[in-house]
Amino acid sequence: MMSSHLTWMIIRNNNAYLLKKRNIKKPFSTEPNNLNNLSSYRYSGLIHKKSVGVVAAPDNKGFTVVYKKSRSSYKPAKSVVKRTMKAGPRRSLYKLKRLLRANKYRTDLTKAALRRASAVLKSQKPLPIKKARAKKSD
Amino acid sequence: MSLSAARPLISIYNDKNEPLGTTVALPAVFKAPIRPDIVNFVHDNMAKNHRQPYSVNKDAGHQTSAESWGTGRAVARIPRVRGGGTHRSGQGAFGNMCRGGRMFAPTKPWRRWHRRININQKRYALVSAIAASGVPALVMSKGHLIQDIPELPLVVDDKVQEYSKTKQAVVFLRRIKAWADIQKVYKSRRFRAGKGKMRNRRRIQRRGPLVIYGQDQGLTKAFRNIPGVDLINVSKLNLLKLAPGGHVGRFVIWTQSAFSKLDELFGSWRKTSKLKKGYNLPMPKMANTDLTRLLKAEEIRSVLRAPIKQKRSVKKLNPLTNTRAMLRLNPYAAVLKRKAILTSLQSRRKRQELLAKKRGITLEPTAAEARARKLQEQRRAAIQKAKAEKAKKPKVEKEEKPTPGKEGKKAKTPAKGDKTPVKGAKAPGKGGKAPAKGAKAPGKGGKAPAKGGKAAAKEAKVLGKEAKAPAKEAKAPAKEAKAPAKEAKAPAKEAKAPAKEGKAPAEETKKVAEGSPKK
Amino acid sequence: MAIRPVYRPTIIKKRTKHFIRHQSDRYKKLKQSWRKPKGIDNRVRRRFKGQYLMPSIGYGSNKKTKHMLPTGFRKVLVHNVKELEVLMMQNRKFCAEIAHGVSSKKRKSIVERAQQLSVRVTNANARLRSEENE
Repeated sequence: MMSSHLTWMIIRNNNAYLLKKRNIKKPFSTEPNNLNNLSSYRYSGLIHKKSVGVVAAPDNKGFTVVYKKSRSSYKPAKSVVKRTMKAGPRRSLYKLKRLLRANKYRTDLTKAALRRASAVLKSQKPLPIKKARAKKSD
Repeated sequence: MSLSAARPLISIYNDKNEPLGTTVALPAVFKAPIRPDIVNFVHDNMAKNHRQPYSVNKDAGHQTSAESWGTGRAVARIPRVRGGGTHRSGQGAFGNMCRGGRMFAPTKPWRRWHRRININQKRYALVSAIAASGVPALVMSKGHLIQDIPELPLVVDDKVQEYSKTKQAVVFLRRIKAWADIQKVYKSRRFRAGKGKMRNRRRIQRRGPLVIYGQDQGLTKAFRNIPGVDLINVSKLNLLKLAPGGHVGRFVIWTQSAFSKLDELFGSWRKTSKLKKGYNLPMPKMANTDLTRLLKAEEIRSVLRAPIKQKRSVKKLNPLTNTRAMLRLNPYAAVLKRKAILTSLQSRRKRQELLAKKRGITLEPTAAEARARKLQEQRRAAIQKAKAEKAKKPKVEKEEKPTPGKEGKKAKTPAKGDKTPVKGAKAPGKGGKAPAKGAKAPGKGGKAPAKGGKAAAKEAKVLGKEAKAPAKEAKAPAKEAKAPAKEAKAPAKEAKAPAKEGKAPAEETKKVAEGSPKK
Repeated sequence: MAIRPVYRPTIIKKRTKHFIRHQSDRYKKLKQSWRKPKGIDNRVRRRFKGQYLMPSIGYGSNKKTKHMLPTGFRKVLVHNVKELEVLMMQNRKFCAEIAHGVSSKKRKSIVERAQQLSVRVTNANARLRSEENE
């Protein structure tokens, strides 16, 4: 119905999630399902029929993949699919890759999704010993 | 967007968030073009229409009989208050820079406060705003939390219009999952930044959902105390409510009677509106706005010029220092280089041996030189043996008959070619030999037996076989290609395959010939 | 700790001194901050030898290193954790700087989250001291 290009042109310069920062040309975006948090046509989580998001799982173990069902795009409650993966990085990243590759679901975002997933996983690891060192130096 | 697109059915939800089962066709307004520029313009001008005129008193600052003193008094020529006997006399007056003077360009009540807007533009803006309220992306981009609502456009049963208690309204909004949006309103309540605080605009909050009803049977009273919620009647649609801030995409909850009235109100492209005289929906400028699809369309592609593919500028490299650049210019450089290394190694070894002899030291059998010598001897013997065998074999082989004479030569040539690498072979490592052979052999003879040999050599490389006996293999494959049955070695097996297939290996070998020197 | 930037060129500043206002050395009322001389006879404006230099576009930095910190990052002012999360995927390009009005309590949570996300924070140690003294 509405093409993503048109929606993008309407949203582009003014939306609730736009985050501009001093001296940085490319604005950020805080919307959900934006893998890189950049305000751009490709990464926008709002405008596309299909979009992928990766967030930390609710209990902060593993991550949750959020993606849209393109068919029910006008039914917000039904369109979002959430899948939580918490089987350890190796397996769950592989699963994510398979999930995106198998259906050719936004192949342009596969790499970004993997990156984000691993960033989420990394953020859940306990902080390295360096903390102790910091204490000493204080 | 396109006119021909099917109009989906919108299901109606009751106050418990269950679909009633009845559906309504989507009114044509929701297919209207969305023009943020027009919405913005109209909103801008409409927002000006509830201003009240203000101005300063027209006499302010002019209620003295001040006159300039003129030049020659060593004071500024500003008008000065006349007379004496009071502090005021002699002070500057009138000017905006003077105390007690008038302001600069005093405001007047006859400023153009209000704006007339073309009615068609107003309608266009309204239509755009309504259409945008049916697109999830646009509503979400405005910050409304609609991720849990069942459908967009959200149409609810007319029962909602009969609500008279706020409690009912709250329960309804909770059930329909619109409460998140109102929660956001609660969170956003704050004091206004700036001077507005002292001008009776102290508190601000964001906007919540807009409820559009067909008939007010008490619902305005039910809803009006919920922060952020606005209510309007369909017949009095207001752009300031539908597109606050001049930006489209407000979250709208329609009652069924309001929703079904939209077609009457705005008509469609074919049918004129019933309630607005002679009004049709505006035509979109583009029937299809999907850029990727347009660019892929054959009709458009056929008209477009082929893309100019710019070549990347190639960085020039010095072939004398950069090996790869050299190989690109002269593939044979690899052979030369290898040879140079090998001969230097060989000569060094000889020198060592000679030195040892002079000094009268017998080299230990474990010493590098001694081992190398031993290896060389072994290999030489192996070559001799192979040569002898090869000389017999070719005649036995039937497949290769057409070129028996040449084979004889070839039998020598690979052997010859082999010698050099074999001699110097010790140091450079195992893998190194195979490509060197591959490089030489094609140079001398491109015929069948040689091909087999090369192919095998290639495979030996590719498979990463221990190159312990590459010297043997290089010769052996030549045999093996002819008499596959005899050999049972793993590399030998591979060698068979190319030999059987007539042409394919030939091609392969060519590739090898090309590829190997580079390696 | 140290998160390194993806791309760290050598940053060349064409001029590191301030441009100072003409005759700001002569009169106290003239501050040092640059004002372009407009006078018809002004020697600075006419670029006479031995005069103050005037800023011009030629002093501009390379775009690639403009606004870049010596570490190779560009800083992003961060007021709360939510703004920090945005940097999660750009943690090797941008670093965070906590805004000056943020309290030490909230600072702590921002720094902690930044550590988890491995986002570099330029002023991670600010306002730590006072807390220890308490």
